[in-house]
Amino acid sequence: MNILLLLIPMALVIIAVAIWFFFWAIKSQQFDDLDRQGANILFDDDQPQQQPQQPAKVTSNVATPHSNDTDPE
Amino acid sequence: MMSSQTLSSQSSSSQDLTEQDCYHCGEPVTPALELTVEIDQQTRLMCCHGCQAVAQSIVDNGLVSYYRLRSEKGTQASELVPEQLSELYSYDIKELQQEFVDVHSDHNEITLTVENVSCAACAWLIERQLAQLPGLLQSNVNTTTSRLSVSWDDQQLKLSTILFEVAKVGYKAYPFQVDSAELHEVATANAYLRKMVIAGLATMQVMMFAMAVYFDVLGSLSTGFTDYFRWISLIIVTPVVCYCALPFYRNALSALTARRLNMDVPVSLAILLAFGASVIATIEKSGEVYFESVSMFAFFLLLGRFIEQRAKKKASQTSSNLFKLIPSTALQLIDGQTQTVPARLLQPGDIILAKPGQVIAADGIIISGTSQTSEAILTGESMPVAKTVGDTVFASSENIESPLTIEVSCGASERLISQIIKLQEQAAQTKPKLASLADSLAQYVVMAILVLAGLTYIGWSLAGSDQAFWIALAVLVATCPCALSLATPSAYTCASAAISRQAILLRSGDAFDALTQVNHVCFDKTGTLTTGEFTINAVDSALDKQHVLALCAALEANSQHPIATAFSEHFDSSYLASQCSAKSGGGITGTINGQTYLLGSAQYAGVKPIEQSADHCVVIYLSCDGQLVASVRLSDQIRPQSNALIEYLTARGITTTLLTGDNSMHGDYVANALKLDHLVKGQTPEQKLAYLSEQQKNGAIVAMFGDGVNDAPVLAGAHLSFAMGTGADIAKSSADIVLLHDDLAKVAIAIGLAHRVKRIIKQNFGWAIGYNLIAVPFAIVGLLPPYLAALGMSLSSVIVVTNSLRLLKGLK
Repeated sequence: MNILLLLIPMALVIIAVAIWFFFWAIKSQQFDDLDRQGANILFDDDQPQQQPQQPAKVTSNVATPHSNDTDPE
Repeated sequence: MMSSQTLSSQSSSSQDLTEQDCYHCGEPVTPALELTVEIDQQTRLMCCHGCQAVAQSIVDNGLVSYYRLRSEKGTQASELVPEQLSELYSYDIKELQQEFVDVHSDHNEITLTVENVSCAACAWLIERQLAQLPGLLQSNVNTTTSRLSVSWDDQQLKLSTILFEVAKVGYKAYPFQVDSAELHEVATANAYLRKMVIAGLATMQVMMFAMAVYFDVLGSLSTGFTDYFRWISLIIVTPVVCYCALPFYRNALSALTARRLNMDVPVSLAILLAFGASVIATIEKSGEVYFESVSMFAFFLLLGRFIEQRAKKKASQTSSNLFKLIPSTALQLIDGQTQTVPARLLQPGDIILAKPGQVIAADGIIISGTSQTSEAILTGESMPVAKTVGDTVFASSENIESPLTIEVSCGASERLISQIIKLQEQAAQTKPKLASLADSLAQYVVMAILVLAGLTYIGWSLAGSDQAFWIALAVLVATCPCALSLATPSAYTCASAAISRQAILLRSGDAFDALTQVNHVCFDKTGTLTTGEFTINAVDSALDKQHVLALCAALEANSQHPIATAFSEHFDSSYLASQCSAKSGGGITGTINGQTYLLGSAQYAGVKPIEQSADHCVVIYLSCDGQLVASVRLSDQIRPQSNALIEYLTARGITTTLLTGDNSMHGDYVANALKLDHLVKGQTPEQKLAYLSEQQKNGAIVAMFGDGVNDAPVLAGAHLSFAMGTGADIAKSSADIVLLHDDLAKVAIAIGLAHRVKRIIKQNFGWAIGYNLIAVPFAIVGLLPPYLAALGMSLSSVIVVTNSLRLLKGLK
């Protein structure tokens, strides 16, 4: 039973990590649009004519966009 | 036609449209038009050129999956007319962009509100359409808030191009003014979400240890392990008490400093006392600990607050979306050349040009041209005012007939409209606040709880019991501040959700309280009780009515006058007027099928005016060769719902007043026709506000209905205010409630709902107090341990919330 002395603090660390992730998710606006993301998977790149042209990054609104993705230079 | 509409509504979910419905928007198709688009190897019918253009551009850009995956029909699209296009270009003016674009070193960012984004397919369609633009860095559509955030490279792409691309797939995007409340509401909602999650996770963990100890699942636990569990629980619950429960302490403190009591006072006391005592018990290794009760208590309360806050956040976002930033520009004459400049940069002495149909950008004096301007939005007067050289025109009024050259007479801050805004700001600061039913009820209940808990502690201490503290704490918890503190927020949250489905936007949470207390209602006339547009009342002619109306429509097609729109539905392409000319304030003349007609005032048409009737219509005459052909009566008609609303209010014993800026007899006519109790006409915004404060001083609880700029100060100062959805932005931002579809009939629904809310809140309090009356005696005699008290409290909360949820039903 003494193993509990080790396991419970470990569990606490895992909870702390989970909370950190949750805070990160709130900060990066993951909870702002709950209606849409469920259906998003249906709309994947299924148009052949779209493939060559790299589409602009379509993600949630992170403060610094990765402009390299679409920059022609 | 009827049958096809019913069919389309039945089959809309399966998307199997009948042949007669537009494939894009589901509106019935006029077969004669024969508009089609090839979608997925099938020819689909379209109802209009707008829809056809949109569908074609969706197909051309390879975005056909939109049609396969959408869950709702599109909205009927309209083609962009040249004026709208030039409006789009004015979004590119750098000085104007400052207001809504975030400029970074290598890219620009903007958040736009998009109308009619209804499902994930819409969002995908817009994002895909934009992704094809060179220079676009990122785009994201949020379907919950109906907003599009875009970042782009300003070197390669113009903002107007982005707006235009969105318009191509059938949506309208606008920059908007973020409501001052929104940032705060969003931040608060996120803060509650964080706190709620921590409290929830902590509760699960602590509950686990508590159960282990209560039921002794680990077999005979050594005291060492019990202590270990207590310390671990202490560590887990500390953030809950020190961080998650902070809002409760803050509210309790602010209430106490204002010498009031609210629900957060016993909540804070219960949390702090139970936690403090448990900590002492843990350190001294004696007595009981109730960490799990503390944590669960905080979690349930935070859950309630979070749901309430989410509703507030949604309301503030919807409200922000209403305030579209349409760039206000002016055509400035500089050295004989016209140049588009932002209106707010105009200085006294600048010369500007106002074309017919344009909104005048600044206050000024006419230096050339003669026209009529519509000042309805500023003064409430429904008829246009004739203006000529030397007359003063005001910013926000609309130039109707012919071009005007205007010398700007004052800077942006001294304009008439700015003065009205200042008045509105002053009025908003003195807006009276009504005591809410919930606050006054809570006041007594909280007082009773605190006294009872205190007496229990004193009583048991005097009796010499060492359990006195825990028994008093059980009283505090068992009196279920939880159910009590949920009683009002849950009812308000459900009611706001129910009311938003009625196209009513609640901008202030206190509106429900005010709705049940109002005893005097003031109405603006033009645009509020009336439609604000001219419609044809009667045609008096010896000839066929259709023929006469088609003649008038052909002539009026060349006019910008507000009266002209009344005839547009009668336009017939077999009647075409040529050689048309208009005389300001007189009428219009033109040749139709070889005959010259004059349409306008009796004097202009050269006929004898007929007797003015009691309904105060505008009468215009159509004459040919000096002979009267017909007279047409038009009026700014009373909205169809106005009558029912006034009857409803009168039946409830509420005084009604027509408070209008219009000084004409039309005010008397409207007041008589609707049987309003009082009529106060010809009022400036200052006078309206003075009338309001006088009524409020006499003890009336006043509600105001309005739509124009001139109503804004009264709307801001009234106990409760309603603005029309099509009204001026400043009216909407001053109002507590916005009627999004201008439907006055909804007001009766809102009042009915407010009374139901009042009943539900009373029931909730009744239940919570009734539960107390049963539980408290057990708690006082010490038969109720705090964990059972906490459990009972939760059950009681569930009942209260379920009762509030009933508000969601009944209204569709």
